[in-house]
Amino acid sequence: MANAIEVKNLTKDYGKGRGIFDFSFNVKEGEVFGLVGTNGSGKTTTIRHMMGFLKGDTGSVALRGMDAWKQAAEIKKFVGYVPGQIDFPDVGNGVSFLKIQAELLGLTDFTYMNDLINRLKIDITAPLRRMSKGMKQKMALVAAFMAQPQIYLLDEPSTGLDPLMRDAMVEIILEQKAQGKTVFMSSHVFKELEDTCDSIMFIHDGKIVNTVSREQFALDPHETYTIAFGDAAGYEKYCKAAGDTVINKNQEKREITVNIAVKNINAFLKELSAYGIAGFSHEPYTLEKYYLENIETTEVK
Amino acid sequence: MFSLPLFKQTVKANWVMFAVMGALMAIFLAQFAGMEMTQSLLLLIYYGMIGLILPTIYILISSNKLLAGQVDKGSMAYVLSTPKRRITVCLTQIIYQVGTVVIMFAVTTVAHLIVNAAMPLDLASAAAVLKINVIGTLSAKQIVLMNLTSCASCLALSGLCYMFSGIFNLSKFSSGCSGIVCGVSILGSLFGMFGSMLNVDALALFKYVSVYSFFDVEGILTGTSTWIVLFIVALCISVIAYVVGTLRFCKKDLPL
Repeated sequence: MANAIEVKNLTKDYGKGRGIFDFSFNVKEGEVFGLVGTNGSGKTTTIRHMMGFLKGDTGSVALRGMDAWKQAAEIKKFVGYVPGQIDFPDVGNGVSFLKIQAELLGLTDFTYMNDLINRLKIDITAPLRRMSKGMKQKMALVAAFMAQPQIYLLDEPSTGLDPLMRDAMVEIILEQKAQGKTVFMSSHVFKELEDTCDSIMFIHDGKIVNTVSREQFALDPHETYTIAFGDAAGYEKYCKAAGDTVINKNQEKREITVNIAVKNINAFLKELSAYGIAGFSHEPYTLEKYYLENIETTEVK
Repeated sequence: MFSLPLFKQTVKANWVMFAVMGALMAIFLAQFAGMEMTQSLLLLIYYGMIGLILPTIYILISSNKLLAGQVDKGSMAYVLSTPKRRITVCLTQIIYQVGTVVIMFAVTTVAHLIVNAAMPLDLASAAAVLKINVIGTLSAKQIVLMNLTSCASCLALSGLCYMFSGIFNLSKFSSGCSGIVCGVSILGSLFGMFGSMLNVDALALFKYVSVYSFFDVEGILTGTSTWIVLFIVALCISVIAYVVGTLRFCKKDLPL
């Protein structure tokens, strides 16, 4: 499969350790690629290079084989962008803005645009200056998605959106993905990355820490369970029997949390059936858990 | 090389200031040129001050909005997220700015021609205020030349203000530098005027720091051709400034 986005040895040094250093990664056509990092880690800088707003000190960025800096205008024929900082041109209300933006894009069919406006529940007649942060963010999403480009570059696209609208946004992204579009998005919200991404890259202080694929974070070889025992005797007995699979215990509540390898789940459940169980819960393995266990421990010294 | 939607966007964002300043220019001109008691002050107060300060205010405010203001705010990201090259953005904005300045002066030219045809200006008294010795009445040709050359001075100024807007990413620097050039030009011109009226040579020299010194009223009224050189120099400054501003905008990093 061809690469929609290719970044090779990209460095942009702003001095005092700020910037991005030797970034190399590829995003395949049709992939949804997430970018996670703390504030100031280089997420926006990376996306700005792809948009041709910044020129790297060294290295290259190419979208569908075209140089992001030299052919910046050409690339916009198939790219939609949600900027990190949302502020609109001085043109009155949402209608004016979308009209001019559509003209600049050469868009004449407004069916999808109107669909998005309805789904995101925006009042486009409101003056741009009076719009709330969430409303502005929704307008930005419409502007980016309305022409249905091949590649989406989204810089923290769900900032300011309420949970319902965030779900609407995820739905829209997944619809575009189903049509074979490529999405590159940065986010702090693990849930939306989990719901959409095929791969996720973690960056910190301008360096790439790790890249994981969906298989890795969606299906972990271990599952975590918390068992509450009916009596103290059962609690003590299982404590000893469980051995090193125990990762947490609470004597007062008679609760034990264990980490069981997926292949051992059957044996585990069989063993538990001999005990008097008062409660049983499963802690799903989320991306956030993966991040906290694997990334945060390594990068935060 | 020219984007109509962007042009419309720029018109929408700036038309109020343009209309207000343009209207004020025409009104003041009509009043000074049309009323007998103010006619002698026309050259001094209108062509020497009001007719330059009003377009300057428009140029100062609008030039920041053309480029730097939008970069600072972040709204330039929307324009540049479409298949428009940076040079297209620049040329469209330049066409808007030059176009509106020229229209402002074209309107005042026509207004003055009409008023002067009805009430011809006596040059002796009007020019004497500026210490210029001429006789006769103000001709149509002189009116056209005066507006042409003051327009050229303002285009030199608009070029410089556009240049700062293209160079800087922050409004405060763009407006700051443009404000300094405009302020120095206005003050220099005023001091120069007081200096020549009060016969204080040191003050009279101040006019040379002003961009408006390219507007050679004396040359036009006395029929000498010094005004042509100044006119060409003003236009050259304008062109060079527009080019520098454009090149810088096209090559620099944009925090969008």
